[in-house]
Amino acid sequence: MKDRNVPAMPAMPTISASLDRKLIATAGKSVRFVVVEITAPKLSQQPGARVPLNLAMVIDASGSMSGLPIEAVKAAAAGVIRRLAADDRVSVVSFADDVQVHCDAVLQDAEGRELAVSRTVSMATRGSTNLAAGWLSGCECVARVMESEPRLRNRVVLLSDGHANAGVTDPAVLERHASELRARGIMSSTIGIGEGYAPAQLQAIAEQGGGRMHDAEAPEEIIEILLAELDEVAMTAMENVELRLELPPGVTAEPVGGLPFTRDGAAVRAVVGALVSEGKRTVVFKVTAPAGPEGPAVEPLRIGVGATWRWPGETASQRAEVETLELTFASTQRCKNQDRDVRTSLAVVRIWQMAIVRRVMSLNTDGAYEEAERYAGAENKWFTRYCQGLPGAESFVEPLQRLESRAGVRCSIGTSKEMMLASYKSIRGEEDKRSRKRPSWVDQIQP
Amino acid sequence: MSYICFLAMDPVSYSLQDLADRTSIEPRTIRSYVERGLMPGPDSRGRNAGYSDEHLDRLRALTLLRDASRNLSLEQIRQILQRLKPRQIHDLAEGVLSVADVLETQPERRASSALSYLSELRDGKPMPRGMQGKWSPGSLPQARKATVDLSEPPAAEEGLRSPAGLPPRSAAHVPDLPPLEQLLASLMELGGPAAPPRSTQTEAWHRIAITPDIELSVRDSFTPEQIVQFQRVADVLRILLTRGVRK
Repeated sequence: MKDRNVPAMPAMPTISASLDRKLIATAGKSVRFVVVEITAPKLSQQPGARVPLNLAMVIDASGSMSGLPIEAVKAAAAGVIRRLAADDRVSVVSFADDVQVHCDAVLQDAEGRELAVSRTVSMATRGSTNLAAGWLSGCECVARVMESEPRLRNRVVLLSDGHANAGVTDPAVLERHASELRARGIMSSTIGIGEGYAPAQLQAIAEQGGGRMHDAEAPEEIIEILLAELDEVAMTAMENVELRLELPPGVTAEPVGGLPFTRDGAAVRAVVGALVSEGKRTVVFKVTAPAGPEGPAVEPLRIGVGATWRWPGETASQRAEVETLELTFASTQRCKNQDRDVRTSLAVVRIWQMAIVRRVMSLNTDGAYEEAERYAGAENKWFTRYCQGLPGAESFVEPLQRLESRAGVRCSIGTSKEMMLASYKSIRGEEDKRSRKRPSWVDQIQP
Repeated sequence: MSYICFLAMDPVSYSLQDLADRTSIEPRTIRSYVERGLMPGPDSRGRNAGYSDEHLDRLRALTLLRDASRNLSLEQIRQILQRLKPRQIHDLAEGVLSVADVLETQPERRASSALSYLSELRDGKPMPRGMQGKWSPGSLPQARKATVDLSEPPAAEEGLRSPAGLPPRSAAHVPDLPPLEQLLASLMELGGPAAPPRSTQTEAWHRIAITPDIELSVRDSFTPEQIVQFQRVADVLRILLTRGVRK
């Protein structure tokens, strides 16, 4: 990309970990939270040190994209192509019933740029939505170049307005492929266009693909979102970031908020994805401890915290061991009276609150109104109890109580999508790149 | 140093702090390695817990593995150390054996490249960890180059396969399935696995109850005659769900 420089060797990220409470009950089943914060290093501006981009734009060209949406997408894609540098490569793929590769990893010198733009603007809409085939074909364009040129930023951006209804449509399968491709160096981001797209499929690809999911409701937002995504790719300081807890026997853990994670023996790895220069990410793990004896001779349970990532353009993974956290067995009374780490607890509350919003809206969108009500009621009880004694607790609890009262009532598509997106972005600490700001999720449920 | 000589050496006992000093690993981290099975516990217990040269070798080998391959988790390192003999761990710690030598002999293969992974998808080869049967041969179509012939009709094979790449099923040949599975099989047989219609942005729906737990929601844009037809569909679904498929 023009005028964007990337460092050859960034500094190390800053990573810290803390527990909300350190004592666990001898009777077992204590739930504690581990908060891990990671901040990417700042990209230094070293001319000539940038890593070229190997980008595939995968465009939904199904019938519903006809008219303004497809024209806006073509204009946006052409705008992106014109911003690429001579050593970048671009592929443009469209999908409907079929998949068409309009340009395949074309080097963006003057001739290549003109070719890519002319092929992109000649794209036509047709048929239904084989999203998976289009996305995987885009990945293939990127993968072929990776074989011969390992030092590239390999990125696929998928734009779609609808529900995948041909080929592979199961989000779990898409997740699996996205995860496998991320592990092999291809990051995928997605842009949902209009009101009617299926967030589950796009979210599955973006979350497990180590990229971001964006929303572009109006045609004019498509270009600003696509360019914002391109800027984020250029400013990416760390890729394929994973935060890892190494757990002692009997302890279980998983990230809060539906964050993708894997288990590897006694380790749990939360997929964070890409981080931009100085970008910060907070991940909360819910940890459940077993029963154990109390006493000075009893060793505490030790949880190792670490992180792995790749520098952009590098194939080797980096690793950092952060610290070892200790959970100590104590009587129920001592556990009740123990101090809590307020800063850590507030970080837990912020993520937990959005996790509840996300789950409730997901159930509501699926038409599972009673389940949404039941879930909101049960979870709010625990959440309210956890918030007791925390400064500003009311501001977290009150909106959730309002959400609970509305959980069993069908939300409009627009409200549902905005709330899902808001919770998704909050949990991931991502900005909403749309210039036209929407009401906050709390405002969305005003009585 | 021969193995016999190695055994014949006087046993050395280290304290936890000695180990920490010699390996630059914090005592509490060493304890956590013991808890996670990366190394055995001390040879003697209590305040003067003693550790041997074997412990020292393990810690050094562990550090080398971690430093050399940042992809390895502690669990993977535990498995590697478990497969090595004490002599091999000693050689690794002393630099006689390289980390590369050790990793090469491990059964795990390195992950294939992205292109290999995608090629395997295209070829319909078995996929790892529970992916089998979810991706059929040909479900990733051979993408057409747009420049070849844009007027060419869409690839015929797409959208005409059953979901998840399964062969078409006949309800009459799937005995003892639960009602939902039977219903799915019957519908597949009746209608084939063609792609469902796209959703639109309309928000008005007709809701047709099938059972107390299941309803059919139909957009308001259909004519009253079509809605009646959907109600008949709901009737059929109700019968299939409550009575099962006629064998």
